[in-house]
Amino acid sequence: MVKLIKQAENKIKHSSGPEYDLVVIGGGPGGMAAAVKAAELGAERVLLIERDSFLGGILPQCIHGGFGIKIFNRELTGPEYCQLFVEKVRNISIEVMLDTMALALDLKGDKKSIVVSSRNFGIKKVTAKAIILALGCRERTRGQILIPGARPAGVLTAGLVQRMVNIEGLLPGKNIVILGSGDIGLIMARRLVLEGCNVKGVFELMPFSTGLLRNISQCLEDFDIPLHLSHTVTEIYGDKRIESVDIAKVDKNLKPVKTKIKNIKCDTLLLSVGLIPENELSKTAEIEIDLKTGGPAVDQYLNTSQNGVFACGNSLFVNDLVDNVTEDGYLAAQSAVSFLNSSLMGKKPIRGEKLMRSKKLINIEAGENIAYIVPQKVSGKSDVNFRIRASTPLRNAFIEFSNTGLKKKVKFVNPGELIFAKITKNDFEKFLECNAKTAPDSIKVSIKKEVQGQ
Amino acid sequence: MKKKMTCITCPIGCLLEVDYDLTKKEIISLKGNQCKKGHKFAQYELSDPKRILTTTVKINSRFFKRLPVRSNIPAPKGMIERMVKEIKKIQITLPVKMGDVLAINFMDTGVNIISGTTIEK
Repeated sequence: MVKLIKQAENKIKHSSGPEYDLVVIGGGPGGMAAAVKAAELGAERVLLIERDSFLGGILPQCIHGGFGIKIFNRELTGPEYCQLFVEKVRNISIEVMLDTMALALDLKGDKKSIVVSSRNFGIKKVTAKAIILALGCRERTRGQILIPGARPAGVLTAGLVQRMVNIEGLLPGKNIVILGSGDIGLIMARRLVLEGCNVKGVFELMPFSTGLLRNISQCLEDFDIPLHLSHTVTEIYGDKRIESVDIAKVDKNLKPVKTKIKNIKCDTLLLSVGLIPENELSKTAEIEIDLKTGGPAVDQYLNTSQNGVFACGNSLFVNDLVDNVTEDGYLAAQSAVSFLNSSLMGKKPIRGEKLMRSKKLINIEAGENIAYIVPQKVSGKSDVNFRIRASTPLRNAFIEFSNTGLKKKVKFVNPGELIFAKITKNDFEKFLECNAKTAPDSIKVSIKKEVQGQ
Repeated sequence: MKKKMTCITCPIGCLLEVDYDLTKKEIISLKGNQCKKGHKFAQYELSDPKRILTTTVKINSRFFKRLPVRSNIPAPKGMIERMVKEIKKIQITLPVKMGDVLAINFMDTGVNIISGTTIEK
C-alpha cells in the first residue's frame, strides 16, 4: 500500500491538480454538514470526496427512526435525514467526487495536498487551503476482541449485516446470536426478527448495556428478545459455516466462569462490539491522535495538530446521535471558513469570526470515570462545549474540573449517552488568573459520586 | 396497578413509573418523566401502544436493490410484524420521491406507507 502511494506520488509530483479552498474528506453526515455550511458561509471552491457510490455514509442503511430531533425538530429515518442533506449539497455550489478514495495527505509544503484515487480518473493530487476530515468510523471485529475457536463463515459485524439487509437485500442467516449490546446490535436484533430470523439472544460482556435505553425497550423488549448482561462468547464451532457458540457468564473481572458455559446452536454470530474512529489518512500526515478517543486531538475549533486541518464526526470520536455529528460538521466548517478568512489577507472578507490559534493551549485530561473528553486542548479564550464519555454508569454524580473549582451536577451518567458540559470564557479567565504564577497547563476532568450529607 | 416502562419518544429514554387504573387504562400518577411527552407516551402505551414502522421493499433500480419505507404515523404495535410481511408485496415503479405514498390505509390500520428516500432510476 505504502509502496503504491509512493509510486503514485512520484508519478504526479510535477502535475499540479485542481486547487480548492476547502476539501472535505468523507460524504457522510459530518462531511455533508461541513461542506454545506462552509459553502453557505461563503467558502468558494469546496470539494467533497466520498469513496462510496452515494452520499450519506451509514445513514442510508440506518432505516430505523430516531434521527433529526435536534437538527430538523422531527423524528426522521436515516435515509430521510440523508436525503435532506443530499438535497442541500445539490442546491449549493459544492463539487462532489463519488467513488473516490483519499489515499494520503501531504501537509509539508505551503499548500495542503491530497492524493486521491478513483475509477473515473485514476490517481491524482488535489490541493486545498483547508481540509476537513470527516472520515467516519469502522467496526471492531472478532480479531480485536480475541474470541477463540474455529474460523468459519457467518461471523459478521452488525453494521455489515445492516448494509447487507437494508441496502443489498441479503439475509446473513436464520438463527442469530448477537454479541454486544451497542445500538447497532439492538437495532439489528429487531430488524432480523422482522425479516423472519430467529434471534436467540443478545449477550453483553459488561454488567450494563452500552446502547440507548429506548433501544433496549423498543428493539428487544417489544420482540421478547432476551438480553444477557455479563455474558460473552468463549468459543466458536463450525467447519465451513458457524454451527454453534459457547456462551459463558463472566465474573467481576470480566473473566469467563468455566462452570457456567452453555452451547447455543446458530448459523450466524453478529458482533456489535464497538466502533473505532477511522484515521489511517490522518496518520499519513502525522496528525496527533488521542489514544482515548482514537481520533485526532483537537482544540475547541476542532483544529487538529496540523493547523488548517479540522476533524469532525465519528472520525473525531464515536457519537451516539447523528444530530451531534451534524453540529460538529457545522462547527468544523465555521472554523475552516474563519481559517480561510484569516489566511486570505487582502481578499474580500468572508463572514465568520477570525480564528484564534493560541500559542499556549491548556491540555484537558480525562480523569476518574471518564473514557474520553473532547476537545483535548483549549485556548481558554472562548466558551467551550465539552463532550464527555463516562466509563461506567453513575447516579447523582458531579463533573469536576481540577484547578478551576468548577463543579457541574449530573443526575445520571451512562456510557451510552454523551455528556455535554459548557465552560464559559469567564470560568477559564478565573482559572488562568489563579494559576498565572504557578502556570499549570492542564485541567483534569473527573466524574465523581456525590457524597451523601455534603 | 403499577408498571415500569422506558419512554422511547427521544434518546434520553426516561424510566417511567406509572400507577394506573387497570379497567379504565388511565394514569393515576406518573414519576420519572422529564417532559410532557412522557405523559403522552405512557397514556398511549397503556391503552393503544404504537411504533413507527420501518422496513425495505424490493426495487428494480440500476444502483439500488432496496427502497427504505416507513409508516407516516406510528402504527399499532401488535400489527407491525404482519404489516412488515405484507409490505414486501408492494410493487414500486421508479422514479420515487421521498414522502411518496406507496399504500393508503395499509391493512386498515389508518397508516400510510411512504417512501423514505428519492430514487430516480
